[in-house]
Amino acid sequence: MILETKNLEFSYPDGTKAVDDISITIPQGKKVSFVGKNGSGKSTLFLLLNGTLKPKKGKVLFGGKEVDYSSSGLRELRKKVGIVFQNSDDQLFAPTVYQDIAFGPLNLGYSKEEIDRVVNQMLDHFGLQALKDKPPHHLSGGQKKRVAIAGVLAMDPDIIILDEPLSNLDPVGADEILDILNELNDLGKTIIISTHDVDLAYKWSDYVLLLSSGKLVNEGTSGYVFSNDEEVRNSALKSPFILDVYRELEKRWLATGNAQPKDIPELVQLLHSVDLMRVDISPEVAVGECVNLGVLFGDYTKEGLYEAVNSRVLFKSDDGTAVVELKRRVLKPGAIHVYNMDEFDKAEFDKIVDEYDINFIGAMGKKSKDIAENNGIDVVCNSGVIDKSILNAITGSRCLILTSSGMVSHTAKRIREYIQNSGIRLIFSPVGKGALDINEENTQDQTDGLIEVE
Amino acid sequence: MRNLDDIALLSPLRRKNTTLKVLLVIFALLAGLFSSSPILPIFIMVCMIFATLVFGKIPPALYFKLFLSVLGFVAVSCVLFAFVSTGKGDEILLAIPIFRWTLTITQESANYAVLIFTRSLSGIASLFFLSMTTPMLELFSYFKRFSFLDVFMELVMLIYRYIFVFLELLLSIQSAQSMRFGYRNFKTSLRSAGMLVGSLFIQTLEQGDRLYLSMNSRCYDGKLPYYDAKYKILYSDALVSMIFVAAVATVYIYTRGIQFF
Repeated sequence: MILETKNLEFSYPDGTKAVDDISITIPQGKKVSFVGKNGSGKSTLFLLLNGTLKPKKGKVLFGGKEVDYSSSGLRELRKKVGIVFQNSDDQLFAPTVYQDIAFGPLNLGYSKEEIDRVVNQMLDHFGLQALKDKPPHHLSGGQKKRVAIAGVLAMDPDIIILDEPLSNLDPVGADEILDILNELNDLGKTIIISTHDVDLAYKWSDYVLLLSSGKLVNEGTSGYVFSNDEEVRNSALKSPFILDVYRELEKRWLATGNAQPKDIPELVQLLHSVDLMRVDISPEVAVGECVNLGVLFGDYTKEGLYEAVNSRVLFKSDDGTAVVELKRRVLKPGAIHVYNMDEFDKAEFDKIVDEYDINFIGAMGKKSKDIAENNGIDVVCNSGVIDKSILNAITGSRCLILTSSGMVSHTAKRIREYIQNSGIRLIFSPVGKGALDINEENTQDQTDGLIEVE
Repeated sequence: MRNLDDIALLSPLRRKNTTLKVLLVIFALLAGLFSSSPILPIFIMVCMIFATLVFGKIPPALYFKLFLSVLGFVAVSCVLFAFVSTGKGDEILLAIPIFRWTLTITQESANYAVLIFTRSLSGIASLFFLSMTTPMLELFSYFKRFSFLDVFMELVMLIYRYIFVFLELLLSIQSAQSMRFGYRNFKTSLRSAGMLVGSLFIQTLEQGDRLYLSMNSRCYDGKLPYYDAKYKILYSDALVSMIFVAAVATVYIYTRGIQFF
């Protein structure tokens, strides 16, 4: 419980009560979303959390201790709780990218060498090295956002609060920022965002707090909060798109019930259509018996190139044919490999692509995209890489995800979780020099590679 | 929208030593100023234009557009100078009678006008060279070395940054107004311009608030970092500079006193 508020209350001089009796605890190391429509008090709450505003009633606790509103106490708090504003132009006030990132460390009294080291580390980490002497008005929206996050991260806070981090970004830029947030979370930072994008909050966050006109309506895991339709609607929000689709599918008996799919692979996993086929059959087979249909390929397969198919007879007709329900097993499975671009080596890379017969390459994070581009690697996929790779692997592709060292373990975790939850056993292995350390704990995932249905 | 600072930011000469550039330009300005013949300023102007366009990779169309716009003012004032004569016994080149008076151009005044004209052009070309290859950012770190007043420098840096933010805002308000016929005639133009200035003023106040907020959120303690742009003087840079200085000196010596009229 790193950050807490107790009966927090704040109203602006004109009398509007922006925050009304809010008591929350932010769990450490989680991805937390404050969800609410515009004007629901999210931004005000953030300013209260980092001590900019002083509550009229109630208190804010950081690490179990009440916030000290003296100037030194506030400095201590703001060093630990960094805030990234919605409009990057408010945040980027220095004339160059370098100066902006150096701002926090300088004011915290770091030495000149230390500042230079921290700033260069940030520039490298966020793929901004080439932009360091550019003025902010020469940057794109996504670049500005990255600089703003780098400037806050340079102070090494425990919590990073981002107000509407994806507003005004293009889809790929938004995806890059999300990658960064996931990576930071993986490094142990608590990430808090505010958003009215329910799809984002539902998919991304571990913990959701639903706000409406300054009041806390509900809190809990994103699945729990968004499963209460009425509350979500009353807060002038919609339920997440993927959840809506899932519910419609469920109503029509097309998907397994009582689940909360967060992304397309999870949704696909829940689909079960009845797979029927009319086949010729020998007269002695009775209804309910199993028949081995051998190996199907081409147009008859659903998930892979070749499928071994068993079937159960449901109905026999007089003309010697029967309707059977199919059970398929894919013979040529897909695979997902993860390559650490920090250890990029052209010769090794080409060998891997060749050896593993890779036919789908996706890149995550600005840095790996840059390296891939500079080396003429044909990256097919730039956003939603993990999801797309899983989907492709299910259908038999051999996928390679390029990412930087900070993201390797996050990626591995996501894919392993998927393998575990779905029961589908895909080949998953980190490859290349940079993968040695996580390969060890990963050996149990190197399976025979057959997808097992049911 | 492109402005001089953007051009300078993209110029390859940006990454040359600022001190060297400043010294060269001061030298060129002084040499042009002290020359007694118009040939030296013309020479300097040609060198500077060449350096700006070829080494600095500034688009020629844009350069000459800017150059011509200044040239107009200089030309007009130099024509006036041509009619200002001090010497009595000079040879009269041209006399224009207007009613009871006569405007005369003497040999001396003509030479004087030409000298001033060329000097101005060489000065303009030199300053263009500096301003089109040296963005404000480099000048900040340059001035910092001469330990300018910190408060002053910090103000300048913040102002520099927000000029562009407000420029963008100004353009978008302006186009929003003209889209709704705000500049249809003189009366509406006046009214729209007034509203534009007013809303910009309010925005600057609010931006100031937000700026203070965001600086405080990052532990502002009265310090703004400087970007220390250290560009070394390469052997080739030094060589080109020396050739330029030597050439100017040579032209100075051999063209002393040469006049056009």
